[in-house]
Amino acid sequence: MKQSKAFVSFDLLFAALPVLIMLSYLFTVIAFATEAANTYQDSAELTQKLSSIADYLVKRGAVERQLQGTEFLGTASYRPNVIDEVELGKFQYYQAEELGGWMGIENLEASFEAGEGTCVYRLVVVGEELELRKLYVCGEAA
Amino acid sequence: MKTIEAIISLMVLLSFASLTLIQPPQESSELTKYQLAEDVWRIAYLKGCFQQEISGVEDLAPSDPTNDMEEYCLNPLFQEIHEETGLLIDFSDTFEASAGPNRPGEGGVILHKVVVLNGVPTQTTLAVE
Repeated sequence: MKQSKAFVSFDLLFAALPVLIMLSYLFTVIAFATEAANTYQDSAELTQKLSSIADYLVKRGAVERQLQGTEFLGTASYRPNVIDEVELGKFQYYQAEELGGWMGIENLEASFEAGEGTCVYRLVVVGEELELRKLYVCGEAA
Repeated sequence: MKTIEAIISLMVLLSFASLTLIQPPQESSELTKYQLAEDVWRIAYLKGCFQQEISGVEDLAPSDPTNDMEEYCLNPLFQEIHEETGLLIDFSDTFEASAGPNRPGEGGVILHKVVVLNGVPTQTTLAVE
């Protein structure tokens, strides 16, 4: 009787082994797919945030403007896509860190050179000659 | 036991299919492409590509405004943008261009804008990919 019990155990072992291997493979695939989906979602979310910031910069935040009246009581007309380097510098110096913290982005940077992390760019012009440049907005997920 | 094995085998088989469907994130989203296409249009406007000289009454045979606009302003600008960014840009003064051979491939976007040519509002197409 002891001998037959051992045979049953071996039979069960060899039957269960492929099942366990396939299960472990399945869990690995699920973990990989979940990680890939999370990475994709984070990347897409970060890209959309950077696109929003870049859109703000080329339409309002860092463009040439003409003010009429005082800064708080007057009106302003903006020239989208015509970058004022002083305004861009002000954004980088005063607003970038606060805005990045608020939106969950680290090392938020807007400049004419590609920075660290994920970057999006917009086409802009600079100066009286309307020189074509790429305005990069870069950052990393917090 | 064999039923369980069969079910798990099927799941493993299906997991191969799901693996092939997992793709790396797209580098440039459609939203970004639309924004770049609007940038191209805006810069062409800023550079004066859509400004036309008002022809005199005595000018009975004015040159083709579309050709002039493309030859002297748009094409050099598009070439400069292509060298800077790698974007392929195609301009056409017909609405139907978006359905013809100039239709951009996957990932490309099309903008329709109205431009006044010889005093006539004309639907134009800008394709960026």
